[in-house]
Amino acid sequence: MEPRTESSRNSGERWIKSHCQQCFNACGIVVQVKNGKPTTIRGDVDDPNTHGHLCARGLAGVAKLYDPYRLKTPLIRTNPEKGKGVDPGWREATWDEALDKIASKLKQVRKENPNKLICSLWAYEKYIQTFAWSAAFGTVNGGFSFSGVSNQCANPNHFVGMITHGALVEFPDLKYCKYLFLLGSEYGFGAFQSFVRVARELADARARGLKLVVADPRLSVAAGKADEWLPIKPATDLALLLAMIHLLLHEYKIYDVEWLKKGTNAPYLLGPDRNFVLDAKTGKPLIWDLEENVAKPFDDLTIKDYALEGEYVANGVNCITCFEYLKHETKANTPEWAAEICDIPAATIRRIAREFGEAASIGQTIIIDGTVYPLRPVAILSYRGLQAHTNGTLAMMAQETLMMLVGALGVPGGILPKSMDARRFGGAARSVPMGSDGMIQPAATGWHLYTPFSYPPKSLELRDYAPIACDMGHLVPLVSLDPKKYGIDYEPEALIIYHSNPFTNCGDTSIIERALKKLDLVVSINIYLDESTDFVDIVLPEHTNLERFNLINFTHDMHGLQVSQPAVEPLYDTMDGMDILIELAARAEFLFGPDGFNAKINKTLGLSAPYQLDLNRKYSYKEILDMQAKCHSDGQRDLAWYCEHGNDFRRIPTNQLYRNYGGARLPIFFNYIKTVGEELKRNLEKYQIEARHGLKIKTDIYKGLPYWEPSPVHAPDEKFDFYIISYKNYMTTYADTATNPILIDVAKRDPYLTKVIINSETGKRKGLKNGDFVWVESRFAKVKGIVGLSEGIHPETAAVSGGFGRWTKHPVGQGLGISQNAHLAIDLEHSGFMSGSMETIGRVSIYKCNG
Amino acid sequence: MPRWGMVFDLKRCIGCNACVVACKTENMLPEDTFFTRTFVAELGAFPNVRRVYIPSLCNHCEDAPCEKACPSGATYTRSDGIVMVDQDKCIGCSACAVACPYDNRTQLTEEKLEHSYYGGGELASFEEPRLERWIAGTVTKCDFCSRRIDKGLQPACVGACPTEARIFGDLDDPESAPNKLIHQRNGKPPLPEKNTRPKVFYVD
Amino acid sequence: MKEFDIAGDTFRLGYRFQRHWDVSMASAFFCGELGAGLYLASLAFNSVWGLAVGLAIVGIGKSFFHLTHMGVPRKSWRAIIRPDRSWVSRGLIAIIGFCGTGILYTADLAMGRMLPPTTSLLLLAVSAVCAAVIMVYQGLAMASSSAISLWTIGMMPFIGVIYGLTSGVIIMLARADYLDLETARILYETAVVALIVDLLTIAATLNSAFHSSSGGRVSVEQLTKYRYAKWFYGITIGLGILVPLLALAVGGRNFYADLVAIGGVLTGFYSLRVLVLKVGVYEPLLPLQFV
Repeated sequence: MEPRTESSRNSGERWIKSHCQQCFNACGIVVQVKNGKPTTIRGDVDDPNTHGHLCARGLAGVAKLYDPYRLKTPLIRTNPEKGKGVDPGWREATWDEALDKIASKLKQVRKENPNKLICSLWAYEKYIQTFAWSAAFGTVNGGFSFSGVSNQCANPNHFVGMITHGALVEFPDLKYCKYLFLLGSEYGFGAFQSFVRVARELADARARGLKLVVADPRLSVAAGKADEWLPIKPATDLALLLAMIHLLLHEYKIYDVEWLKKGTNAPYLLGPDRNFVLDAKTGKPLIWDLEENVAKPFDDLTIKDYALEGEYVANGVNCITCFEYLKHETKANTPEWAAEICDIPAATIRRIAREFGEAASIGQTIIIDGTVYPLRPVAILSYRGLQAHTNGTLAMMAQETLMMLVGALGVPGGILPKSMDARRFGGAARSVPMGSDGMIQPAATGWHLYTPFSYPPKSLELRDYAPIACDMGHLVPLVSLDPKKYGIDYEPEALIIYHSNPFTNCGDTSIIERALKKLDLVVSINIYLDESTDFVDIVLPEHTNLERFNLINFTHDMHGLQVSQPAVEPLYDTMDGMDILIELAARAEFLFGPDGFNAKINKTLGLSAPYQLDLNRKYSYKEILDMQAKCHSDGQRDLAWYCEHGNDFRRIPTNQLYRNYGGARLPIFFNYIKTVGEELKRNLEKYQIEARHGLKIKTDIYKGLPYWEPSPVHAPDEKFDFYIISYKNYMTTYADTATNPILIDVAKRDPYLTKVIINSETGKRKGLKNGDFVWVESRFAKVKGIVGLSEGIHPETAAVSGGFGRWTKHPVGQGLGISQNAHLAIDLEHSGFMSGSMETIGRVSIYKCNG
Repeated sequence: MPRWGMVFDLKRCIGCNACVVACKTENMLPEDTFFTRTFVAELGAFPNVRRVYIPSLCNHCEDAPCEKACPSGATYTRSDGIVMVDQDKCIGCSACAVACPYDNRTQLTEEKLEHSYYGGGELASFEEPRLERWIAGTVTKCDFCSRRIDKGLQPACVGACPTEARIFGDLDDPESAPNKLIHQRNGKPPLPEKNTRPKVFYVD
Repeated sequence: MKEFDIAGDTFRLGYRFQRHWDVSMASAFFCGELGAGLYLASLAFNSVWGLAVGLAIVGIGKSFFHLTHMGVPRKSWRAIIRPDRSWVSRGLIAIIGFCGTGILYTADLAMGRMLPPTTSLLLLAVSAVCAAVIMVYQGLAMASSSAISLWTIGMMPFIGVIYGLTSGVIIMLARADYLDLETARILYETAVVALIVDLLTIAATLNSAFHSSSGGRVSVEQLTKYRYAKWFYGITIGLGILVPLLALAVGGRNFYADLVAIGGVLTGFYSLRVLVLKVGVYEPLLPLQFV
């Protein structure tokens, strides 16, 4: 007997199906309810992703519901003085009073200039819906503004993934993968998408013999379990990947010629200006036919053999192929060169590159469901550790280039894209659209990949100067302090924070503090009082995850939806966050009409008749979800059905999972980036941005190929001799679960989580012993921490877990760990104008603290 | 009658502590109390270093030293091999706790049981049931979630484990998953030199 | 092989101090061995008050500390249920037997021997055997499980006996003035020999523990090199053995020197009881073959 299921349905107890909502991953849960009270949470065995398993956070979820420090009613500040630790003098208010007060400010702002409202809406289980709210309000400072999503996220992943193969997020095809190279990622070991599911799949794959190689400055969980750990210097992954490209192209000559010729723009001809050379007649990019020795439009069916390498003359100009250009540009990136930068020995780089190339088994095929696919069982996957740097986009481009070279994108065993298509709302997967140049077109639903230039700039994130940056929310506090300096012609007045905490998720807190103080109205939709609420005017209490409805699909290979529903009536006078936003839209008069919130919701959720919201009717979020359920099941299933069954997940058929590019070619040469960069350069010169504002916006970074660009933190610094990095762990989702006492009971026993981890040898040299109190000092902060010595960390690096170093009045987790973010610069130099990431490495000194 | 046992697949365990939290919630354990723990060790020296996670719970030893040490008859072995503590009989002398080579026994003091997770104060409503579940002062431990087993379920930690690193089943059944693993991969009990004959094994 | 160190209460793999048996348990051990030792010494040197004090230390002192330690004291009677397997049960029976027969025997002695000689002899024999069991069972309880390597050492029950008797003999010194010279000389010589035997016993125990297993080695190092070294050398060895030896050697059977010796021995004995519990460690769980 091998019983697996939670099947007991005793009298007096019920099990409610839901999903977790304590991080991105939306794992299916069942909540045990005894005598009307939720008592225990377990995984839902009917969730085909998790099979009933669940992580520590999900299992400890009941502690969040019953937290006595929860907000129980709306609060309005009586003390006008805002400051860290200064009592706001909260008074309890009715919902009507609080909402009306906010709505009247919203109305005024919206009338004057909607951009004066900043939205920091970071409720991960429904952020697309909240984006629709800021869009309906009309502010460009919507979404993740004024928050450190540009710190916490791996933005380049989204942008580069999208323009490469339509991937919002990438997943290795673990069913067939044999060689997985992780860079700065805990994929399958901790924080990443679908942790619970992937942990099992990756464990299975490793048991089958998958080789795991991990590059990370610290011995992450993944690195600790890997076949090989490369203790790389922080923010130098780009150099390592460039050397691997160099080796594949120049030394080993391992690349998928057939795929490069037909599936990418590798054979496209580039002129001296390094743009596509276009056919005079059709305007289409040209390719050199090796047999006929003539240039032909890329889609000319008479092409016999595509020239991959070489120099040619076409249209009367000297041309080289994109592939030749890449070869040329990576010629100097030898492993010896990279070893100097990233502290990985050249011999190791050589071996890894060869292993990777050979594992790709170029030429092999596999038949799945009657279709022949290339089998490329190698995958590179990265996350914040590689990407959240000023050079993150270049590193991500290098990663995709490697994957394209061996033909391992979108094929069995390689990397699969999770698209931003309708599947997440219940609909079917679509193929990525193709442009007239034969190239893949960046596709996005509710996600902007491109911000057109405008002057004066509208965005407090300065996106007008950073056309392809995903997010630069971290710049908003800085720019808010003096918008004119950047050419902005208005002053922000109001801020709504929903499930975000700028004090713990961004950077230099003195800037955050001043920016928050400057605003007229700051609203927080929250479950607890946190660090930021010391600077907030009105706090609106939200339901917890066990008190609210939602429908979501966070998988990469399933159709369908998964429900979240209340396991208990709200314990206090709280509201669903979405209902708060709907109520505010109604009171500030932007709910109705063709540009209202209802209309935006219809678009965002892909609602079509007859299951569309009436543009002039107010709906509750529950009613909206019911419409969504019906719409994407053609009227077959309503919200109640999902409440009973949990989910209706079905696997996406393989023909939609693999090489679903609709014939479009992938960019070995990232022509889109090149084009965007040239346009930006023209505009910056035209409007004399540097002359007028002294802003040096780099434009030479938009080459369209990855190249080595150091991070500003690599500058020699004798005083601050440590790189300080932060990492996500299995216990805390940002700071969100750091006040969950059951989790903290475990986390405080973890030998690493609440310590400042440095290398044993380095510690010895500095006279530090395990458990010593130390000062961690940077240009921005000086805090006391406890040092932990480890063999598992790069010698110049200090590692700190996210989620700790809190200073709220909540008794749980107080005095544990330090916050790495407080040591990060918020300035233009440390912002990746191409990536949208802030530089998430800081420089600190660490020395013994006596007493 | 089955003879329940467990195998830890150290290759699969990633130290995520889901088991620990599942156990704490299933057993309504107060702060600072664990029936299962995941130990961590770094092996080797920079840069050739790896990390191992070693989960641990009551090994339900065939030759249980805790049972031999117990003077009150509270500790006994069920016919399915689960080493149990009868709360009503336990006097809280801790003789079992120092007899267990694995440090898997813990005393549920009144102070611990009545201490709220939220920095003391009144117990939150999800904490209250533990006062009914446990008798203050007694020394207790993992019982393989015997109540779940009696309902045909697996122990809570096993059900939670994302990587399925905990494999539970009947050691008398040669075809059971744990038995197969023990034989195929040469399963070893913890601290075999203590001669306790555990029903928990490790494979790597 | 990888060396592990003390892991504290973190989840780091390493040696972990046992914290289940603490000072109250050490006090109970101390009372048991001291009381029983005094009782036996008093039998040897014919001291009725020594018998009475010994009985009181066991009956009141030991019981008190056991009840303090116990999680559910109201059910403490249950400790008697499993003498077939548990040394705690056997010990409890010995304590009851000791108190019962000892009180009768002592009372009879104090009241001028009213009981028939065979009964008295029987009481004497039973109480003496029970006293011996009390001195030895705690060590056996510790040694019966292999959990804590230091405690598993075969010398462990012997420590209780040796120290119990030493303490008993040393306390006898307090009334050495009332003894005839020959007996007093024997008493002093016994005390000196006992202290030397104590020292040798400790040395033998630690030596044997150090070489028994990694856990034993760690415990010994904690005692002799690290956290508890100053207590061990200062109190257990210095104050508990060397000072009394010195006092007996140079004190010239001076009453105050005797008091110093008595105080020193008792303090040293108590410290040893506490330290042996404090430095007990559980060994790391890692199956060695995986390292």
